[in-house]
Amino acid sequence: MKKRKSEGSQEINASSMADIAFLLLIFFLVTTTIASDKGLTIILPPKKTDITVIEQNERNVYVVLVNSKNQLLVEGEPMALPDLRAGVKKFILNNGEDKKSSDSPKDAAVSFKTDRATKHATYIRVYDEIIAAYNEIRAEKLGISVKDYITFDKEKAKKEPALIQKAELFAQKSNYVDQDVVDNYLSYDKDSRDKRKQRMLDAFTAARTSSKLLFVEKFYDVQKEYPKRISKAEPTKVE
Amino acid sequence: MAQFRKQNKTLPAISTASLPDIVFMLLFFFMVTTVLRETDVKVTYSAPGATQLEQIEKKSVVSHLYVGFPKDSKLGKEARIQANDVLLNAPSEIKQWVANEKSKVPIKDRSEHTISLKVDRDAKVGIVTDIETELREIDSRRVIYNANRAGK
Repeated sequence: MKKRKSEGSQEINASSMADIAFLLLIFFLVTTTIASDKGLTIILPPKKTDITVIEQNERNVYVVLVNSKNQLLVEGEPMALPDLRAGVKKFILNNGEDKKSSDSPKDAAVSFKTDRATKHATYIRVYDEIIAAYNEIRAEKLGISVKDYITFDKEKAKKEPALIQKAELFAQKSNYVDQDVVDNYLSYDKDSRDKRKQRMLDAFTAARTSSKLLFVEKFYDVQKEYPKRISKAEPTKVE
Repeated sequence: MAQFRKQNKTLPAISTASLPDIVFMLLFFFMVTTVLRETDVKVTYSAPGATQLEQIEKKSVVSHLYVGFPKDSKLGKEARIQANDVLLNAPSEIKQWVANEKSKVPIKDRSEHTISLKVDRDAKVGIVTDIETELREIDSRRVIYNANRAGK
């Protein structure tokens, strides 16, 4: 018996091991989905009962409408999508030049409304263009590229003093940020410079991630709650 | 010619003995990184294209909501909302789902809880608006519209 056993035990052929492993490998390669959570962020306005009244002159609102046939109507005129970005930028940066357009970037708001039957893809493309206009303006003010602006990371920025300075300068000098916010975060007398920098950076990041430096929050309120008809001369109450 | 022959003789065959090891290494890498799909998507989803994309770094604060047309034709042709594995019958069911999802997020990150809307490009804005109205009601206002990078 013993003899027989020892005769029967052979070395297992391992040459097919690679094949088996390859098979498994291919299975996992195919099933792997590297999840991507990329997209357009938005902060929805508070529920209807909490809406604060915004007084807005008609000239300070850039009305973008999309109908159920996915056609674009901007300020009462049909427009092609590629022209929208330039249109929004011109409107924001008007600074009272054209009396029919915005007074200042701070007052400017974009109202974006769509029909219920508009395609989601169209909604995203139009929203993307509006965001792009804002991003380009802000990136330009900061002197960084749009890509850097979108992917602005507080941790990374800490290592780049130049960027902190720019953020600080940006908040101080431009009228793109509400003065309250700047006052809040840059209480000059109380804090040391380092602390101030940190606060500014926090403010900048918070604003960028949450409310797009107050712009989009504003425009979004208007977007959802803007009344259908606006009287011509008087400042109108929203909601 | 003679020289060539000489070289040929000296060349040893490449050993393939370590090939399984290499393949296994790759295999383990993919096994570890693979996250098998937790939910079975019952609606169509092809992401719309956009350019100004942002990425959410913290995966744990994101909950996904699918909106699309049912793959199973028995379920009708209207766009439906899918939360986890279930197709919702009405947008009002979202409230319950969000409360549930929020409780899974670590307390310190709860204020950052974000709803990722994976809406099919052909779905209508109406259903998305309904979802947003529900989200506003329960003050879960951080939303990200999932999108792919659009080619220029």
